[in-house]
Amino acid sequence: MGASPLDAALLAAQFPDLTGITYVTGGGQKWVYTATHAKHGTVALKVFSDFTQRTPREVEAVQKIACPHVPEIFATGFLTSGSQRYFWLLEPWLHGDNLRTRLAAGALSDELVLLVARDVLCALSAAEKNRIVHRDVKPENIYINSANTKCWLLDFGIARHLERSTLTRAGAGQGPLSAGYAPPEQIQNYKDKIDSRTDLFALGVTLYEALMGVNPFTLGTTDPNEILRRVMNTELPRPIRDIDPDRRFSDLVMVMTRSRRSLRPRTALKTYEWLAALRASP
Amino acid sequence: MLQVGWGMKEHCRTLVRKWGRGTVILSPRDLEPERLAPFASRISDAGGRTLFDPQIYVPHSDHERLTGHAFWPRTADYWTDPSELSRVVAELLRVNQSCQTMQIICPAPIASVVSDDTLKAVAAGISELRQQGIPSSRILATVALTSDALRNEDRAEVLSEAIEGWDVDGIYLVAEHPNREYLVSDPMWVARILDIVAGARLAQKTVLVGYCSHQMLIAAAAGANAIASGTWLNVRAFSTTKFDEPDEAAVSRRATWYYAPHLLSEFKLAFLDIARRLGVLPSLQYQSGIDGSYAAPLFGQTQPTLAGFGEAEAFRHYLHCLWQQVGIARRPTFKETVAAHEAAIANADTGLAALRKTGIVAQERGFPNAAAANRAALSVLKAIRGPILELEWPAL
Repeated sequence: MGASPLDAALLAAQFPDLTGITYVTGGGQKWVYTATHAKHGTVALKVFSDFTQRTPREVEAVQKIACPHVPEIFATGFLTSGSQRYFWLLEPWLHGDNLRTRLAAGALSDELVLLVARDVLCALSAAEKNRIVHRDVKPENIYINSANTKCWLLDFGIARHLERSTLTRAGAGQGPLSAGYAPPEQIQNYKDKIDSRTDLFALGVTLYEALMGVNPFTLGTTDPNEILRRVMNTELPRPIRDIDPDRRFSDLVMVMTRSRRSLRPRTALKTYEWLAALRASP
Repeated sequence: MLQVGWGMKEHCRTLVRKWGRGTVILSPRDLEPERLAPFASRISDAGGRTLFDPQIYVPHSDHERLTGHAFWPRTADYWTDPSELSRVVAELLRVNQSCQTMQIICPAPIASVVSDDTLKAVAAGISELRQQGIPSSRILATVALTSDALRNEDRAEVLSEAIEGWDVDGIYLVAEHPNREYLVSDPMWVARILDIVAGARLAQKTVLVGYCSHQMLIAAAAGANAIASGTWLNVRAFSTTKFDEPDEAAVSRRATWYYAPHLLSEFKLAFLDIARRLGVLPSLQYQSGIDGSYAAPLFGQTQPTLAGFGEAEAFRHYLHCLWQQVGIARRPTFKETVAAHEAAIANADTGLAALRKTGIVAQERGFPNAAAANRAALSVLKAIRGPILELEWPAL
């Protein structure tokens, strides 16, 4: 934890409802503080030095989705320090770790794999209902609480509102993505083919990784081009571990990660229902 | 569904009346313009419904009976010329209206490769129909593919995506048989058809598969809504030569075949005579549960070749059996449906093997090669689409 980039007095004056504002982390264009709010308890204050078109869209996405598995945004606004204008937002402070941190210790337990699948699918179903595609589902953007009872899907920073114009530069060879999780249509930047199935692919890869402890697309390489080549040219192998005797969970993961979009489940909601049926069966 | 071919009018009327329902796909190649509406009216009177297949698979065809229809395009790439496309569609709508068809089949040329151009031809037709006031719920888009196009897996996703995006109720799938085979032995061909059917059904499109033999009963495992078949082989196995040949090529090769539904095979009557002499004729008889009244004389006291089982009875028996088999081709779940088809193939294999030992064979209309292709295609369907089909089955 370093020194706060913003003056403490300025923050205290700007946020009279907050007490104990403490700088936690930051870098690049975003700084994170923690504080206590009279109504919301412990909160995260995120301050952005680079206000782009994406930021309001991210806020709007989260507010529209309004799902218990997407952290709520309590408030947003601007503050000025010297000649610089900053965008800020206030969220609940989450106690736990992101999935990437958990995976450092190896594959997850059956219960935790199912928890991630259920809660993230719930978030994606809510996003889908609002015609929003997250486009960056990956372990870094999934948060698990300390009690292992709840997950959240974070960071709608590159989410796509399907009824809005694209923010990716026209003619760009590649849109924003995380190599190893983005499906072929996202890698090829086929904008009209980006829908819930894009997120289902990424979640499928994430669940594979949660189940097996490795992501075959990234295993043994950090070269993004090699990772993208693998995604484009191979299918994930069937997980050798399963969590139900009929192997229906690994069926689900396999189907979600098909490189042909038309072979994946058509909607996040259908996939959520599929998982619910799997969990309900003996 | 009945796929009209040469000389089929009376068969259609008789069968629709017997069934009390049924859909007949009208064929401009086999029905002159002035006969379409009266025939459609007779089908309606018998309790059936009609569709009209424009058969513009080979737009440059100069087949007299096709070019004699007002809707026939004046240019081979009619869909690239807005005024000609508009004229073709308007004329087609006139035919459909006069026949009071239940839906409009939007024409498309047969594609030897699923290219952007071939997809544009379909999209242009759909768009023109919509512009001329036809709701999407009344449109079926033709997907006509050569055997080479079907085998090309690289284009599979392009086709699936296109079908998903078309503003139509469903597709009318027409697939050229490879090597002019009646029963197809290429497992990839069968697997690709099942994949297209399943993909379209999962995209909530209706799927009618045209020009089918009993081999396509397995389309039910992919969720197909209907298959269409007819009398002569050229309406049970699609080939573009049908639209080039001046007349019914099959006529000179007429033979009477008996379809044994439980063996998924057809036999020349002479082999039924042999079977009778060897005492194995009952094993060729249709199963219990199948109404085989048209073929009943073959299994009476008279020698089969002398039992009066002619061409008309053979055709009606085949189509009536197929109609009944279609009725049980779909089961409550995907798994049960696949299991039922696998069991039917296994039963046919066993039965044919036993008959073969006695010298009774179905020759070129025997199912063994097609059985292997169907079995492999079902395996692919289960592996690639199975979990989703199982899940979505109640909604398909």
